[in-house]
Amino acid sequence: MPDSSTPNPGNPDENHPESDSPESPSQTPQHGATGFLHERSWTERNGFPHWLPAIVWVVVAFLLFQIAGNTFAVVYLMAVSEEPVTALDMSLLTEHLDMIFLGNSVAQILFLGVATWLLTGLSTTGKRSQFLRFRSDERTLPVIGQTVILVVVMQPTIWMLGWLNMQIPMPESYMAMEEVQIEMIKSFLTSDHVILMALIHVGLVPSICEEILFRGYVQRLLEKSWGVWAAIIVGGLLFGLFHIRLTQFIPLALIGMLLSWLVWRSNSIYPGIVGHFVNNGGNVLVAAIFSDMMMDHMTTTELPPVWLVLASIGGTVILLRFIHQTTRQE
Amino acid sequence: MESAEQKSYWNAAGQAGAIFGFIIFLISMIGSYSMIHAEPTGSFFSFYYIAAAIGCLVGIFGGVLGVKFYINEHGPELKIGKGAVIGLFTGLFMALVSVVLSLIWPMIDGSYLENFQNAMIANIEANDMIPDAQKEEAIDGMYAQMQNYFSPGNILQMLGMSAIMYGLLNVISGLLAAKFMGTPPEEEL
Repeated sequence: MPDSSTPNPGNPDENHPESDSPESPSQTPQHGATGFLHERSWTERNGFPHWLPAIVWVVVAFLLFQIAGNTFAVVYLMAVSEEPVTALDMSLLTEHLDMIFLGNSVAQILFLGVATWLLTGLSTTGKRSQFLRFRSDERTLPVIGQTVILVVVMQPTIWMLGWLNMQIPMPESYMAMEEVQIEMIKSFLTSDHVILMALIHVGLVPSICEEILFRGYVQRLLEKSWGVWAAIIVGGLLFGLFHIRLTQFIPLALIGMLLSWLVWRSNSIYPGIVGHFVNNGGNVLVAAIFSDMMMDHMTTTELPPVWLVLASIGGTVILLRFIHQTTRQE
Repeated sequence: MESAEQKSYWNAAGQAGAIFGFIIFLISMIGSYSMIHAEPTGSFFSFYYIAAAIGCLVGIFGGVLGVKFYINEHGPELKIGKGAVIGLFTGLFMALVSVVLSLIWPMIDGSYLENFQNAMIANIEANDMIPDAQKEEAIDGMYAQMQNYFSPGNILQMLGMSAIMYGLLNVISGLLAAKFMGTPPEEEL
């Protein structure tokens, strides 16, 4: 449902030719009133509902990213290993983790970032950067600062939600797969002299590529189909599922929804990118300094202290209200 | 007169999905029983996998049938985007129908799951090209999957994978069917 009660801060549709308003049939000159060849995007002219390319592309991008990343890893390991490669050979994986993460990052850049950017051209008649909210105004920088504080303050809440999620029983085969995933990340994050590499592969690349996909492309299209709140909720759920970590689905979905909300309130993708980077990059730094604590956080076998959770929830609510007020005043 | 947006595609997608869901279930059963009654060859191209590939190929035409039903009901005016949506929902219905039938069948033939599991394991064991360690992994995985066949996790996994596969394939086939079988509507005033 489109949000009509809350004023949308700086609706970009008012500022550029990316408009939801239907084209008047009388206005079909070679160049429309907006100065662009077509008044409506290719997807609109061909009768695609906005949600269809959004959801289909999330699935296709996920498949392409997984296939490319895993194929690279398998081919690379087969090339460097003298013995037959088995699926769960941890020592081999750990030994070549840097190259596997490099393959993963390249796949993210290609399929989540560049391909999404190119695909955006089918859904807009204006500039891709405007559609994806690569824009800033006077409120962007303050919101980015508030986002950084918010992401730090809400970490104990995320931890607590992860613990709650862990209480849901999962199949053993799935848990074994996730254990391998965590071991790989742990090995990578706690390796010597790789903090910068980890910041790039785990922090920087996903924060840009995933934000382009989810907070840029998917959220914008879902907003057009179903309104802002449905876009935030569905986008967050897709973001949670995308990470194929079912034991962390709830916190991941919540982070996705929060970043979506920030991007919508600020009408800029930059708070989303920075918030995502602070979350992922912060985990990298904490892992490098306190590796045991980080593993507790990742496996969420233990709850953080209750006072910390309560303080975190309180702080998060206050910050959200503050950001809401700030962006509304604008 | 109904506008293009008001014309419902649920009937068309539902009917085509039910028909093709049944067809792909049937193909999968033919593959499974062929495998159960055949000698293990150790080949990667067992009856089951060949049937799965055929089922996948046949399943692509669900979206075409969905669009055909829609055209029969509402006339040929439709855009390719609507064809893609019809294809998507046809694929989702197909996935639902085939998974439900796959869950019902072991209740009709009580020995089906056990026989199928034994046939698959025998085929893996007869394969000389896989290293022993990987054979063990594959057999353990197969055994675990069969033991948890009716678990919510396995049902969700089957549904999810079928929905993604048939949904995506039929988005494309529905889109193409609308392109070649339909005619683009006049822009409504």
